[in-house]
Parts: sequence; structure tokens; C-alpha cells
Amino acid sequence: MSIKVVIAEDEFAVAENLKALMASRGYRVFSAADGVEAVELCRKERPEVLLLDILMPRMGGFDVCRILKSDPATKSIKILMITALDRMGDIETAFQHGASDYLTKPFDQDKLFKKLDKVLAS
Amino acid sequence: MSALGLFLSGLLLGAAAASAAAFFLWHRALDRLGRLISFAGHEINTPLTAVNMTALNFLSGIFGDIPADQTKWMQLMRSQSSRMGSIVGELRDLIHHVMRRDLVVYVEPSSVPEAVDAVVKAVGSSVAEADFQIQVEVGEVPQVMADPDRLFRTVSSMLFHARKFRSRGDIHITAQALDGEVETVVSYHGAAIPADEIERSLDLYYPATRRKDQQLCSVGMGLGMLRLVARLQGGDFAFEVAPEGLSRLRLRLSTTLKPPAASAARPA
Repeated sequence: MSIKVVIAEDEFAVAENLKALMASRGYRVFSAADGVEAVELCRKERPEVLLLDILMPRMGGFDVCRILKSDPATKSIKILMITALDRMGDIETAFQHGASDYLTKPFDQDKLFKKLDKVLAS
Repeated sequence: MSALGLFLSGLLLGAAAASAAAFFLWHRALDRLGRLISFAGHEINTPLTAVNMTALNFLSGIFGDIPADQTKWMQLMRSQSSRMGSIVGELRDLIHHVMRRDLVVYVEPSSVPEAVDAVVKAVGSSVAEADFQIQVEVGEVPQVMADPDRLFRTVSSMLFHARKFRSRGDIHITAQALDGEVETVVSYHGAAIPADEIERSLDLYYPATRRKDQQLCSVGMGLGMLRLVARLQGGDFAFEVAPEGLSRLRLRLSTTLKPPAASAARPA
């Protein structure tokens, strides 16, 4: 059975590329354009993993992370933070909010799937 | 105390207070500017990711087949967007190191062969039609404690430096284990450069302070940036030029966690 993934990314060009790439590798992909939509989609679809951008409209990635991790129904979802923020404080904050790992922009396919494999195996 | 003494004391105190206030305001302005430039770099990374992924999705056939004669252009787009990502990363590191003074590098076990392979894949197309080749001799070496992104970026910058300053022959990339470290060397034949210029080229501000009579210009933010980042990961970086022009860029990274690097492992 294919792995279910939610992509929460407000930048259309990045989201579309991610969707096409992951679908080509056999993942079942759902996408959300903001934080509120991401929480709703995760509650509905219960994906194995959420690719979560930090800076998004309506609700930021850290809040999405906190909400999902505090809800027993969604707390098992692995969260891979995708961000261009790569400073120590942001990484620590991501972990504190329950992220499994982080991926910094710019990234390519190899880097993405390596992190995904690590997160799914954790 | 005499009136003159009181006046002079007041003058000194006033000058000291004014200097402290000026320093505080200058520091605050610098910090704010640093944040702004760092934010701009962060913003650039999103479209860069999109452009890079689009090129890669085309090259891997995800968006359908592309005509063979257009593949080269897609590879060039990938190569250039990768290079731009490295320069933006170096610029952000510089800002955080100099202006904000908060640059800490997270390290994790990282593979040098994988980094070299990724660099050659990403930027190799830009030399595909040149009159030289990139010769890679990287055997099995232990993992090093490094930030994978910065490792890629550094090897990429070393390769671009060699490409820019080579005068003849191929570019060689080697890696070997050396007493608790892995040394990655990019070598090429270039100009015979005086020792004082070699040393100066490792200065962080060399791209801005280079004299007109000096032969080396810089690639990206320069070799000083590569040395800074290597040292922040507990390693080191060197540049050597033999009298006949054989040039070696040496990156040494430790196989164990060394200060001032911080562990990238999830906090317990």
C-alpha cells in the first residue's frame, strides 16, 4: 500500500513540483496551501507523513505542528519541516514543536527522499 | 573640585554616554540590516527551490519527455540554480557571522562521497562541453560530522573555483581518511601565485580588499568563507599552490563531533 503524504506549502511552484515528484514515486499526495487547511487535511486523511512549510498564511508551520502533536488522533503523523530558515533557533523550535526532522531550502530530490526515508523509519 | 574640574568631568561623562548610545544605535541598526538581508536570502531560496525542482522534474521525465537538444539547457538551468543556491547560502552565513554574530552550524554524520557525487551531478553539466574533465577518485571513507548542505556547498565552491582558475589539464577530486578526519582535495593546474597572495585569498574579506595586482579573484563569497564554515564544523580548509602552479584546495572534516559545531540530532 502506498504511503500517504500531505504537502503543506503555500508557494504554488514548489507545491506542484513536490506533488508531481512524489506521485511519480508512488506516494498518495494531498496538498494544502496554508496552515489551517493542513490541519484539516491531516485530521481527514491521517497521512503517514506531513511535509510542512514553516512560513504559511493563516497559520504557521510551528502552530500546525503543535496542534497535530497535541491531538491523539494526529500525534503519530511524522512531520518533516520544510523551510528556508536554517538557523539554530528555528531548528530547535521545530523539534520542540514535535517535528521529526527538517529540510532546508533549496533542496533537490535526493535530499528530500533521504530525509523522508529517515523520518518514515524513525 | 574646581569649576574647571567639574566641567571637564561632565564633558568626559557626556562624551562617554554619547559614545555608548551611538554604539548601541549602530549595533541595533546593523543587527536589523542583517536580519533584513538574511530574510531576503530566505525569500530567494523558495523560488530557487522551485526552479531547481522544475528542471530536475523535466530531466527525470516526470513532466514528460523533452527533446534531446533541449536537455543540455535544462541541465545548465539546474547547474546554475544550484550554484545560486550555494552563493545565497554563503551570503546568509556571512551575514549571520559578521552582522548578527549568531552563526552556529549543526552537524550530523555526512558522506563525503555522496556530497562529491551530488556536486558532480549538479554542476558537472556546466563543464560537459569544455576541454577538460572532472576526475573523481573517492574511495570508501568514514562519515564526517558536517552539515550536509554546507558540505555540498563547499565542495561545489571548490569545484567552481578550480574551473575558474585552471589553466590546463583536468580537475581532480580525491578524498581520503587521515587520522580521525577525512580530507577532500580539489586540484588543478593554474597560475603560480605568490605565497602572500595565497594567504590573503583565505581572508574573509578578500573579495572586497583584493589589490589590482593580485591574480586571484573570487568565486562566490571566496575561499575565506569556505575556511570559516569548515572551522565552524570543527574542521579546516587550506589552499596551496606549488611553484609550477599545481593548486590544491583542501577541506578537512572530523569524523567526530568537535567544537564549535553543534549536534544536529533531535534534542532528547
